Amino acid sequence: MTAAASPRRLPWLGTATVFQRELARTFRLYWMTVAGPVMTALLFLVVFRTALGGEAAELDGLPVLSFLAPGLIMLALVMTAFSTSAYTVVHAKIERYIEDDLMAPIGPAGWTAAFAGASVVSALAVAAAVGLAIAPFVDFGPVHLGWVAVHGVGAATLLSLLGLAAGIWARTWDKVEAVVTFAVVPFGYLSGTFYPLDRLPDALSATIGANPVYFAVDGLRHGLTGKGATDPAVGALVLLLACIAAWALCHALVARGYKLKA
Amino acid sequence: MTSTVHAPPAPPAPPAPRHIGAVNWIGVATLYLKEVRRFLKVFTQTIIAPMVTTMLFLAIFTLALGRAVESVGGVPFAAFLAPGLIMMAMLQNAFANTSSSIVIAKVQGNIVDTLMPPLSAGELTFGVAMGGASRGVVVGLAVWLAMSFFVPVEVRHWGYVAFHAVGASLTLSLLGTIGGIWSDKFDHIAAVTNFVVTPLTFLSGTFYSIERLPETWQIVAQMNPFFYMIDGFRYGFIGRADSEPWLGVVVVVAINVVLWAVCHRMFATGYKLKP
Repeated sequence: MTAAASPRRLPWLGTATVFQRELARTFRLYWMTVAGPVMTALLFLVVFRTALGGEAAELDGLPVLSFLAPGLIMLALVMTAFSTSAYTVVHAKIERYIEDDLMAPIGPAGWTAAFAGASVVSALAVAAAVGLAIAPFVDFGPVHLGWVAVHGVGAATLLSLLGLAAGIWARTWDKVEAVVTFAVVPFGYLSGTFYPLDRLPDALSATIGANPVYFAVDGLRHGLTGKGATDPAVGALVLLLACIAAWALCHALVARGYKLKA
Repeated sequence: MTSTVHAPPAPPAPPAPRHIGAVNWIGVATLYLKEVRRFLKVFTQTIIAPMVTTMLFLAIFTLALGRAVESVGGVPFAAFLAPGLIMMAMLQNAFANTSSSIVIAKVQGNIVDTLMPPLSAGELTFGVAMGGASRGVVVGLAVWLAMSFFVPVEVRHWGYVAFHAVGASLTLSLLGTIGGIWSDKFDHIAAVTNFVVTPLTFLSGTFYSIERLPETWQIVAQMNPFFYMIDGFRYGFIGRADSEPWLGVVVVVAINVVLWAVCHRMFATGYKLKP
């Protein structure tokens, strides 16, 4: 007789199973989940390049396309991280298989880790695909892989957790759609993704400059081109703190069963 | 106790059959209104969302490029960009309206409710296509209104603006109908949107004058109907175009005639609609 799995091991097995299922969901539709963002990034690149013509324009001391590339990668990452976990939970609620997930004996931590973790991996894969696709057209500077990894993983984790919280809160597609359109997309587009923040009016740039996505974009830019407006270490700290807060929020929501359990 | 046998009440007389003339006006109006109410009901997603997205595009492009590209063909960059963005929003939303309407109806199975009523292929085409074209025009007006707070958008030639707004919305609405009928599931239409419609609306001169393109690509651009829609619409605003304005009108009319005929044929034969 095989020994029953010890209770201490169970959460890991369960968490890994949910994680795998969620990952499979994303990559089953790879040509939409991965190829879609790659397409968007390439379109932006072509449009910027053509609109500039031959003009050797610079943004913050970098050639425009080099300035832009980290922003485009981060935009894809942020959008994928948020929407993957958010839509997953809403989908499970609408299709009513959320009970199956809630019954799994993995506890709030295992639950949060599985859903957010799958979303993080999806987002990193999409970001890597976008990076590879645009690399032939862009000059990156001296690359600091450490900062690339820290800011990539940090932003993916933060946005996956926020997406999870939004998915738990939303009861319908419309709600989660609204959060994406009116909160995530604006933050993704305006957080120094396409232009240096000092081009904005002071009040606006101060507000946007305080949001973690801005630090992530800038940190990734530092990692890929060697030039950033902020200290990447400060950015990493901001992301870490924001991730801890978002984790605590998700953990609390799942533990209470907020809008999940009857 | 007297037992009176009550005769069962006579069944109500069936309504007199409605006489339908050459055109089922009530039916067409109902279908059209259904299509319009469908998008008005979720106006945050169908009107406000594209408005916000387009304003974001205006912001990022003027902020990122505004200093390097001060003017295009003698027009300030923002004034050049604004009509292109309005047109882009109209194109994408007209397409989204009809394609989503038909795919959802097919997937959920309620397409029969549209096909069973006594509506001819022409009436179906009209109702669905005009619904989508209306969405395009409404989104265009909303975006225009939002932009007018930030960018001067004066009109020089009202005729061109109105013609291209309606013509292009109708084209994309018809394309969306064709795409929707062809698609068997959401994935198919999502692929058409992602890999055909979005690139065409991005690359056909929304953000730049095609003078900027290498020569071979300029020739390609001149064979692309989207280019004439954007260019003609912009001509109505800034009075400057990359192509002859009359040629754009001819192209848009021609493509609408062709697409209308294709839609009509699809509804008439029941291609991928009826088993």
